[in-house]
Amino acid sequence: MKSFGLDSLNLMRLALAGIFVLAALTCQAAEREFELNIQNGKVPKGSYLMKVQKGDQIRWKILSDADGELHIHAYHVDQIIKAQKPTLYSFTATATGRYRVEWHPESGRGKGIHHSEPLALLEVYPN
Amino acid sequence: MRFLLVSSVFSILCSPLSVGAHSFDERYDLPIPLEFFLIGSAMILGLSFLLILISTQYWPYLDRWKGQHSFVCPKSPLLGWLIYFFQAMSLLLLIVVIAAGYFGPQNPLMNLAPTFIWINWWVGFSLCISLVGNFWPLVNPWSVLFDCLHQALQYFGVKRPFLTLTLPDTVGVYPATVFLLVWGWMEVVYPIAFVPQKITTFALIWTIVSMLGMAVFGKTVWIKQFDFFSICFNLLGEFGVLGFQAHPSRVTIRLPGRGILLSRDHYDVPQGLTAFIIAMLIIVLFDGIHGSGAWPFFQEALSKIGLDPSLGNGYLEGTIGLIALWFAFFGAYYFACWLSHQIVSSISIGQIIQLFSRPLIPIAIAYLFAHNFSSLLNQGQSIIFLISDPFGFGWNLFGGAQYRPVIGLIDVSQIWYLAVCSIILGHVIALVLTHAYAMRICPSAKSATLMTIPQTIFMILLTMMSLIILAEPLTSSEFSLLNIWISK
Repeated sequence: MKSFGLDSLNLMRLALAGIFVLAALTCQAAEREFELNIQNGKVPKGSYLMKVQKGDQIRWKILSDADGELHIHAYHVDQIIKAQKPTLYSFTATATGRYRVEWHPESGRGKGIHHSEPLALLEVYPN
Repeated sequence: MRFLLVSSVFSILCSPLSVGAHSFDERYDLPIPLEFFLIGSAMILGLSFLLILISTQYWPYLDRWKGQHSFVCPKSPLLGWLIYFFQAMSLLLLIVVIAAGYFGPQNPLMNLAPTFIWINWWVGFSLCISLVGNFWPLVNPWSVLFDCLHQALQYFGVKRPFLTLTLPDTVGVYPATVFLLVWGWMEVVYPIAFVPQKITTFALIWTIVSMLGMAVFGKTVWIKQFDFFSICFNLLGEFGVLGFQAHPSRVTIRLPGRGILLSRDHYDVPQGLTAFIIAMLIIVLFDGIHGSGAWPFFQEALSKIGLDPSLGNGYLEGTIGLIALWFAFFGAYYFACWLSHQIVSSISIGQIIQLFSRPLIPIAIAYLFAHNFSSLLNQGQSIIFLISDPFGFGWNLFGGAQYRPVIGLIDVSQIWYLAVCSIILGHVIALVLTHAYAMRICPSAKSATLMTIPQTIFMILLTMMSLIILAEPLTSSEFSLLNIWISK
C-alpha cells in the first residue's frame, strides 16, 4: 500500500514536470507570419483577426491595390505602402491587449476623421 | 448679435470635420476569458446568497458599527493658502483647456482638451473621487469663477448684482439628470465629441450657463440641482475613504462605501435623485453595450418597427438606445421596489425607491473602474506631453514634451483580475448597504431580509450584465487561464 502511494506520487511528479516542460516549450516566443492582402481597403476575413502571444515576433507580408499608410497607433507601427509592391514589416508583440490595425488610403488623405472599421485586429495575449 | 452668437456656436458644433485623425477613445482591453467570467458569476451568486443567509444574524449590528474616524483640521493660514492655490490652478486649467481646444492642434490625439476632459478628468477624476472622497467642491473652477465675478462686481460697487429665483421642490435634480444624459450622449453617441473645437465649445457654453444659473438661482441651488458634475462627484465621493467637512473643518477616514450609509440626506432625498443615479449607471453601461454584440440586435429591432438605424449618421439609434436603456433600468428598478413593497407593505413604494437607489452607486463605480482603468492608464499618459505644450507651439513647460505613452505598463491578465475583483467587490458592498438601509426602516431583521430579496436579484442582474459586457464575446480563448497558470 505504501509503495503504491510512493509510486503514484512519483508518477504525479513526473507528469507535472512533463506539463511544465511542455508549457515552457510552447510558451517560447514564436515567429508569426500574417499575409495582409488589402483590396478596396479590406483584407480577407481569415486575415482580420491576428492572435499572438506576448513576445512573439510578428511578420507582415503586405500587398495592397492602392497607396496608403498602415499603422497601429499604440505600437507606433507606421508603414507607407505602395500599390502592388509587396512589403515586409516585422515587429515584436511587446504589450498585451487588442489593437486596431488602421489603413489610411492615400486617396482619403485630408478628407476627415475615419470612423470606419479597422483593417484588422491584433490580439496579443499574456503568456 | 444674439443670433450671430447662436449661429456661430451652432455652426461650430455642426460643421463638417476638417481634421485628420482616427478613433480617439481606442481601447486596448481584451475581453475577459470565459474562466474569469464563470468564476466571477459563481462568486456573485454565491456571495449574494451567503449575505442573505447571514443577514438576520449580523446586519442588525451593522449600523451601530462605527467604521470611521474623524480628525479636526487645525485652523491654519497655510491650509487656506493651499486651497486658494489649488482653486487658482483649477481655474487656470479651465482657461488653458478651452484656449487649447480653439488654438491648439486640431488632431484630437495631439490636443490637450479632449484628452484632459474625457480621459483625465471625466474618467480619472471620477475614479479618484470614488476612491479618495469628494474634494471637488474645493477645486470646482465654475464655483471659483463665480466667486471671483461676484467679488469683482462688489468691488465695483454693485451691491445686489443678482436676483435669486426660488424653485418648487418638485424640480429636484431633474434638470441635472437631463444635463447628465446629454453629457452621456455626447460621450457615447456623438462620435465627434472628441474634436477639440466641439468639446471646448461645450465647455464654454457650460461655463456661461453655469454663471447665469448661479446668478439666477443662487450658487447653492445651482450646484445642488443643476450642476450634474457636482452631484455626480458628490454621489461617487460618498463611496470614498475620506470625507471632508467645511464647517468645522474635519476629515473623516472611513471604509469604502461607509460614507453612503453616513450620508445625511438619505432620509431627505431630493426629487429625481433615483432618476439621476439610474442615469449614472446606464451611461457607464451603455458605453459597453453600444460596442457589444447585442447592439446589432437592437438595430434590427429598430428596423422592424420602421426606423432606419443609419439615419442621422447613427445618432438616432444611439439616442433611442440611451433613452430606452434608462427607461428599461428605471422600470426594472421600479419593479424590484414594487415587489419589496408587496413583501413589507407598511413601507411606501416611494420611500423604497428613494432609499435603495444610493446602494447602486458601488456597482456603477465598480463597472467604471473595470471598463475604464486600462484606458485611463494608457491614454491618460498623454497628459504628460500635452500639458508641457498645450497649444502645440513647441513649448516644453514641464520637460515632458517629448514623452509618448508606454502601453505595456500593466499586463492584460492583471486588468482581468482587477476588473472581475472590482465588480465582485462593488456588488458585495452594494448588497451590504442595501441590507443596512433596509434595517433602518423595517420592523424586524427578518422582514428586512425578505424585503431586500428583489433588490438582490436586480443587483445580480446588473452585475452579471457588467460581467457579460466585459467578457463579450463569450468564448473560451485558446490562451486560457489554465494555460497561463501552467506556463507560470
